[in-house]
Amino acid sequence: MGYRVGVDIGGTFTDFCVFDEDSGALETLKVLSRPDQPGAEVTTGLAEITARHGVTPSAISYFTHGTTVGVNTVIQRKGAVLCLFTTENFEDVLEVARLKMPDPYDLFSTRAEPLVTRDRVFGITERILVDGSVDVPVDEASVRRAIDGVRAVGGEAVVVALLHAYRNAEHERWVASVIRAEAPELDVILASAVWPVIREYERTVTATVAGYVQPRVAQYLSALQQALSDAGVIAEAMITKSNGGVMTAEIGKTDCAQMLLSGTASGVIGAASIARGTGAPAAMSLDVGGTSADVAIIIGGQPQYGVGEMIGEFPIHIPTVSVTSIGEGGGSIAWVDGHGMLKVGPESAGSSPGPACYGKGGERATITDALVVLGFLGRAALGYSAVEMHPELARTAMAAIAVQLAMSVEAAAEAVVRVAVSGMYLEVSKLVSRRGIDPRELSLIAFGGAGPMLACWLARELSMREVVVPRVPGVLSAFGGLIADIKNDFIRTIYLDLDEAAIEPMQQGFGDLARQAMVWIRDEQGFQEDVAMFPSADIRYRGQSYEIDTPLEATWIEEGDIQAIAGTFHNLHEQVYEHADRAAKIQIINLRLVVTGQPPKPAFAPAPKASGSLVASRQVEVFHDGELHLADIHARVDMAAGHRFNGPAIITQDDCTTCVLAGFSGVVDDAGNLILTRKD
Amino acid sequence: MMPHHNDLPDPITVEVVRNKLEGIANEMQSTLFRSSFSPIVKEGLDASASLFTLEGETLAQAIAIPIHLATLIPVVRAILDEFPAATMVDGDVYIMNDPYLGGTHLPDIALVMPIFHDGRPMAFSAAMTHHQDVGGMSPGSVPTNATEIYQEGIRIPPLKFMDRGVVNDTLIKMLRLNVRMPDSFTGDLNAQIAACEIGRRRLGELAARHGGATLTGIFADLLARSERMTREAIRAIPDGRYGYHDFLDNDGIDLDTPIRIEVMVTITDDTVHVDFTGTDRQVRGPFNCMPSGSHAAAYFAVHAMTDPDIPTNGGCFRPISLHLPEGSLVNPREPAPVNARTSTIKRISGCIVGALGQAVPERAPADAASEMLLLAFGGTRPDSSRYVIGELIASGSGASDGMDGVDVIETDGTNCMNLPVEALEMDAPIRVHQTELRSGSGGQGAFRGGLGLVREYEILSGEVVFTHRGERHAYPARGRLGGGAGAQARSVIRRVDGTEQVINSKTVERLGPGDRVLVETAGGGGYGDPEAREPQANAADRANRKTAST
Repeated sequence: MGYRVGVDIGGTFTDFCVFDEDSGALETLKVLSRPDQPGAEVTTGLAEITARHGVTPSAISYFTHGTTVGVNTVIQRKGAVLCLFTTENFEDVLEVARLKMPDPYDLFSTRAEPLVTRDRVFGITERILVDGSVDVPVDEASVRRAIDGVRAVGGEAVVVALLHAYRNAEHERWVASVIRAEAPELDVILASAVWPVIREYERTVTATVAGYVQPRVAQYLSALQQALSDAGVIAEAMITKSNGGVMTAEIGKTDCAQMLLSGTASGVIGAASIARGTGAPAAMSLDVGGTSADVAIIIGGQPQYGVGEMIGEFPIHIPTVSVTSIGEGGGSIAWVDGHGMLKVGPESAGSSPGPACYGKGGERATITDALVVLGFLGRAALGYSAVEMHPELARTAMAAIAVQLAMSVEAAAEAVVRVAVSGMYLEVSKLVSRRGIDPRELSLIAFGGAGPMLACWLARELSMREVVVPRVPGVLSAFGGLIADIKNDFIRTIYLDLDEAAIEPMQQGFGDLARQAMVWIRDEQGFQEDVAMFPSADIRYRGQSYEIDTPLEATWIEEGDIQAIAGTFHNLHEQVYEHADRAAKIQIINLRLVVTGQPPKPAFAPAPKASGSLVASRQVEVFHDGELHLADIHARVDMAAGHRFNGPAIITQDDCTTCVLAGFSGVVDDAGNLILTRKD
Repeated sequence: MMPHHNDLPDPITVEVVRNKLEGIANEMQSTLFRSSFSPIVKEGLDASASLFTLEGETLAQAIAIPIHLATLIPVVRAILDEFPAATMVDGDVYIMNDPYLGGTHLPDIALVMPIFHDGRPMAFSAAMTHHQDVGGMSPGSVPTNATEIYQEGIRIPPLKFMDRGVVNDTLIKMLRLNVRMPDSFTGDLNAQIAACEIGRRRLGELAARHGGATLTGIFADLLARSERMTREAIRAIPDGRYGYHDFLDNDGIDLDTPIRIEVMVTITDDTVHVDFTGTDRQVRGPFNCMPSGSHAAAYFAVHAMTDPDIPTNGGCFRPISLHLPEGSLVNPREPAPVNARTSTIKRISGCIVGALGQAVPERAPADAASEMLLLAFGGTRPDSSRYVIGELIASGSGASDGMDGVDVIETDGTNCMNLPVEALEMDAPIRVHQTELRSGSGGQGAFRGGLGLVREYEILSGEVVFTHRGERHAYPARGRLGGGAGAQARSVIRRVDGTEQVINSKTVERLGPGDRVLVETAGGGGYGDPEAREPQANAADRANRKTAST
């Protein structure tokens, strides 16, 4: 037996979650991130864990981690000098994109500059037709000319994305072999290997994002592996994926497209496991950090997946846990516009200088400062004493806003929270209404450093009845990595009418995908336990240009039961769009397969049972809804299953503070979650 | 600093309610998109949802494409004229589509539902959907060769669609008999009712929380605030009269006659007046634009030229007035056809931006090509099944102070997506030989206009009916402050026998196997003196093949 360690490396903090396989105990830790020296924060954290909990690195049996290095490389534009080879006469696939303007009201709206500018795109003389047959074979001279072009512009890596390669990748492989022979120093990324799906822009942009981040990600992962090895960790490093699963860090070096939303996705995996524990039929995760607030919908304990999630300014079209940004975070700055209206964000104090109350030079009031003025924060240290609180500085900063609004400092602070939360409401309402979900039926699972501070306010605004605060809200992404499955997605475009003639290609396609899946999980991941496969298909009515991912039973595929497949699609269409046309022709566009393997799951020790009622350590004044209230302060470590409490209350713990408003009552459930219920 | 008074709702509540109203409008629109049948709604986002005050002013709106901005206003007014609010009852729903009574074009059907609180009407929720077919001479109800509105489909005056919650069956039966796809037609109407119903329910909840009187007070405050902000922004534009004109190639019927659009924009203190005197008489073809569309274009242009961040509601429109000469292209007389008015709306907003650009050149880009080339291929596959493929191709946007124009992008109020080559080749026996930016098509200038697109198609089998509806074949997008014009659009048919035929911007042709169509869309205008262009920018243009290498 040993220790399982989950780590989430964020912009400000690196979070640790340590599970003791012998005792079932869960320990947490936060240290400051070291973007300047990747891996250093992991070394620091492991040393700290050894010192605090006696965990020796060699006793670590499982190590997963999430990182934002991929997405940051895109946002900061610090990736490779990337080149792109396309089919000749289609070089402008990235520039043409899909016509749409980011903001149709803004005359100065523009497209993001592509990660590969036009001078680094080279056409290859070749053409594969829609049925996969070859019209023009690859002209190797055109490849050599392209390689000369790459050298002339100092290219470091090449993405090869040819027309119809989702159906026949022979030409992409041919081009790659020429590049490898002529210019072995160049990294080569084939779009058909990254995600072989129909639609050339989507496939190409996804591959360019992957190729762009690859050198940095590979370098980073190597540094991390080295740091772990130096620290004496024997277990192979795993990395969390955008699809909510994990894979080995070694594979992550080449399969970068899969880890771009590494950390955000594992937070949702953590929240989904909480939702399964509480039995909430539908939930929304709320992850608020210092600089961002993200939400995700969880139905029946499962995260929802989407394609086209944005990495910086670019969509990637591989399956990704759907996470939506609804605003900034605890560091969002409050200001008064020229018309006397109070606004919050989008400017953020971030981690440096941070909110005024951190005393690190921030002078403008943030949401965090507002909560300090209201009396909810500043009662205990934040972030493992990494930050010292200065309530008087928060008050000074808020006073500047109060003067402009001609309000008391407390009223202004509450106004800041209300305006920030109403902005979040607006974004959440878009998200849930697109999916046809009534927010009142959702349970709100709050985490991240600032999520539990704002959850009650947002729940009230959305008329949600229940807020859940997990045991380790400040490090839930790290926790999510600990419990994630080994998981990968596979796709094949077949583009056929769903009739008898489609059965054989469908069976053959799923057979190929299953073989690929086994190679991935057995050979590449070295996972030898039981695996599960989940087939599905992108299906639509003929004439539509959007598909529904329809889950399939293995027996339907084996028996060629197209009636069952069609029936499931009609039902789903009805569920999503409120109507179905059971007489209409159906097309099956893509076959999909998800393979998962479950590493042994941690068996967490249950929360201790309460023996007697909860007694507040002390009472303090808080201000909300325009008046002063007396709030109980409880330390989370003193709370046990069955303990009950009423708002207003402040619950402090190492990794965050929970604000419970008047009108909410709380109970600690058997798993140790705080369940806050809105009265009325 | 702006202290608030006790008799007004506090500014924090106003801001919170504003977010709430916008959220409600978004929720209405999501419902509309989600449950509509029409592919035009699903893919072109051609539907919108709004909340209105009792006076018929826009309170909040969710619109994916700006040409819908304010188009519901005259509809709500027309319904209020026919059915005063005081006579309305909870559960009523009203319907109309007639352009000559306030609508846009016939496929756009609007439903309006009064929202009651404490037994009195408090506001309206409204939803407009571009229906797939409303009858008339051709499937889809947008016949490019229509010469009168009767050919375009069925006209619906302001009528009660539901009376105290009971659907008007007589009307439904009548309408269903006049459209080609009655089931999807009623399905889309149901989606519109669902959207209005969401607005009714959510606004009711808001009124229960804040009180009806407080809420209507906040409505007034929100409108006044946006009006104040818009007036301030207009005041910052120098007073004066600014004229501009541009042309549409033709009306699709009289192919050799260009159509002139002329505006004189007068800024007086904090008001904008747009006079269309000098604009051509109404045309025979369907490019006539109803006042609803002319207003939408003006509101969009002024909103974009002042401050697009001002919360959009009826207050923004109060300082704007229009003179639309009767019987002209922008205010036609019955029974002129109107279905293709989108091109006209785009060109009107371009003209107003062009006029205001003389007052505040730093805020106005040069002319956008604003060509939305519509292509349709209708034919038969080798297995003898029939297909129709529609394709939209954009053009270059105008350069502006500090920024080159954007290549092949939607501008001036519409926002659609193109068709991937791989999907097109899957759906029809057509091969695409080329999709590239059109080098050298952007107008020269200190900042270069955006490029158009080159695309070439080959028909692989069967006989094909090919429809081509473009613009800017005859008149280029002009530059500003010394910038050059963008390249004009050009389309060529290369027959399998080697003959070449340059085609008109609006045409229908027959194609056979081996025939090829090459389309080149227009470039945007340049901004400022080309001599002043940074040498690095010129070098980058050559390296990126944005300018023709010479």
